[in-house]
Amino acid sequence: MRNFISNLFKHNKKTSSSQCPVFSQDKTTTRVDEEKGAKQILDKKQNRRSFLKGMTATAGAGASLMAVGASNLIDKDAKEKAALKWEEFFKGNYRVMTEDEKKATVKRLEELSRINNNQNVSISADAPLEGVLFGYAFNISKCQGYGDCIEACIEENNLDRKSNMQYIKMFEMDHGKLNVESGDAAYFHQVPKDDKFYIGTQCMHCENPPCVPVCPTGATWKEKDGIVVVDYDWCIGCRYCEAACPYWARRFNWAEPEVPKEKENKNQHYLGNRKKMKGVMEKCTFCVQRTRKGQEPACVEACPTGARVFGNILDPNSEIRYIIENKKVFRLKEELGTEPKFWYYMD
Amino acid sequence: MKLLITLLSLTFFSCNDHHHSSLKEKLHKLDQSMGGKGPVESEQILKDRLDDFSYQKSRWNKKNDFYVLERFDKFKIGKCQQCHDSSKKIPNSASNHKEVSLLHANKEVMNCKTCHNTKDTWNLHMLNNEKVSINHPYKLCSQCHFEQVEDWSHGAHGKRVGGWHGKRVIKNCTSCHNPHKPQFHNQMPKVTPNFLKYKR
Repeated sequence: MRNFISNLFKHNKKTSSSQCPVFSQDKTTTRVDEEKGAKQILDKKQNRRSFLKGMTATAGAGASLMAVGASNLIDKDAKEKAALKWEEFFKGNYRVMTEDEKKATVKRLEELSRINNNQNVSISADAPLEGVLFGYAFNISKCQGYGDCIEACIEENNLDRKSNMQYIKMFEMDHGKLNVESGDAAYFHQVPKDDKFYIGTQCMHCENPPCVPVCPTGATWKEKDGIVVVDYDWCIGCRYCEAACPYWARRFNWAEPEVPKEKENKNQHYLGNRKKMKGVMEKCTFCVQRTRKGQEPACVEACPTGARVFGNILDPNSEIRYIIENKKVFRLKEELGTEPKFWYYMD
Repeated sequence: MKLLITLLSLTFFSCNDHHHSSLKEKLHKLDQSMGGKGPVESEQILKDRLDDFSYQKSRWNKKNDFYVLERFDKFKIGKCQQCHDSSKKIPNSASNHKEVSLLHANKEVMNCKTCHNTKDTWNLHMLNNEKVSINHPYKLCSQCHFEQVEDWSHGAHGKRVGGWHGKRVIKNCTSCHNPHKPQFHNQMPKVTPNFLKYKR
C-alpha cells in the first residue's frame, strides 16, 4: 500500500511519453510532439518518415489523376475508401496527435465504418478527466460466478464472437486458497457451488504496468486517469505485452474479429471499443467510452450481486476509498510491484 | 528487558497508528495536488444519467449523504390500497397472500406482522412499532443486518445507479433481495468459458 501511495505521487510528475522507449529517446522531439502534433513533426525533419510523406503527396496526386481518368469505372465509395485508408496509414501515434488530428482520424474511422459495414458509429476521443484516477474493487464474498459481467463486457466492447473472446476471466476457487493459479477458469455448471468462491480477473490497470515498457512501437501506455490503453493502429502484434502481463489480461486477435452488425455497440472510443483488426492486441479499458462520460463500466453495471465497485480513488468521499480504507483488501501478486488499481475485498 | 519489550511494542503500535493516519493524509494531499477539487463535478458529464430513476433522500444517517431508489412503483401485484381499503374491508391475513412464501429466518423469529403493518398497509413498522415507509426498508433490515446496512450506506455492499460520480443514488435492499426470500438462487453461468482448465 505504501509503495502504491508513493507511486501515486509520482503519477502527477510522469509524462505519458516517458514510459515509451521509442518516444523517450529524443527528449526535444517529444516536447515538440506534445506542442504541435504529428504532422508538424513530419514536416520538420528530413528523415525516413518525411520522405514517405513526400511520397504520399506525389502518389496522392498520381492517384487522384488516375481516379479522374477512371471515374466511370470506380464508384464513389471505393474512391473515398481508398483515400481514407491512405490518410489513415500515415497518421501519427494517438499520443502525439493534436486535437484537430484526433478529430480528423475519428471522422475518417467513422466514415470507413459507414463504407465498409454500412454502420453509422460515433467514435469519441474524450481526454482523461482532471483530478481523476480510476480504481476498482471486487468483493469475493459476494460474487456468485453468474458471469453477467462477462456477457455485458462482450456486448459493450464489441469482442470477437467467433473466438468467444472475453476480457474477464472468472476463477472458481476452493476455500482457503487465494492464488488464482489453483482456481478453475473453465467451470460450467450450476453456480454458486458449495464450498467454492469466485474471483474475477481482468486488466488491473497497474500504476507500474509491465506491459508498457516492453512495447517496441509505443502502441500502449498509461493515460493520466490511470487507464492502460492500446492504439490499435500502432500495434504490430508482437505480443510482448501479453507475455509481460502477470494477470493474463491481454487478448490477441488471431483473425479478423466478427461482430454481428445488429449487435455492434455504436457508442465507441478511439482507445476503447472501436473495431479491432486482425493481428492486434486488445484488453479491458475500464470501458473508457463510458467511464470518461461519468458512467460505470459495463461489468459493474451488469453485476447482479453488487460485487463490483468502481470509482475515483482521488475523491475522499468515493465508495472505492471507503472500501480501501475500511475493508480487508488485497491485490493479486502484490510482490511483483506492479501496483494494480484493482482491489479485492471481503466482508 | 521488560522495559525494552514495552518500549518496542509501543513503538510498533504507534508506528502502525502513524502509518494508518499518514495513508489518509497522503491521499488527502494527493487530492490537493491533483487539482484540489477532488472529483470533477461537470453538469455535462452528469446529463441524463439519473432521469430514468425516481429516488428519495435517505433517512439513514445525516452525516452520510445519499439517495435511494423508490420502491412503490415496483409492486407487481398492485398497491395495497386497491384491496385493503377501509370501505372494502378485505381481511389482511396470510391466507389472502398465498403467492408469498416466507423463507426468511425461521417461523418463530419472523412472520408477516414482524415487518408489515396490518392496519396501515402503506407503511412497514420496526420492532419498536416505529413507522417506516416502503421506500426506506433498509431501516427495517438494519435491525438484524446492521453490518450489511452499514457497508451498504458507504458503498461496500449493494449497487449504485447512474454512474460513478455526482449524486450518489443507490439501490434499496429490496431492489436486489426479495424480502420474503432473500437468498440468491443457483443458475448456470451466462457465458461459456473460453479458457483452458488451469486446475492441476
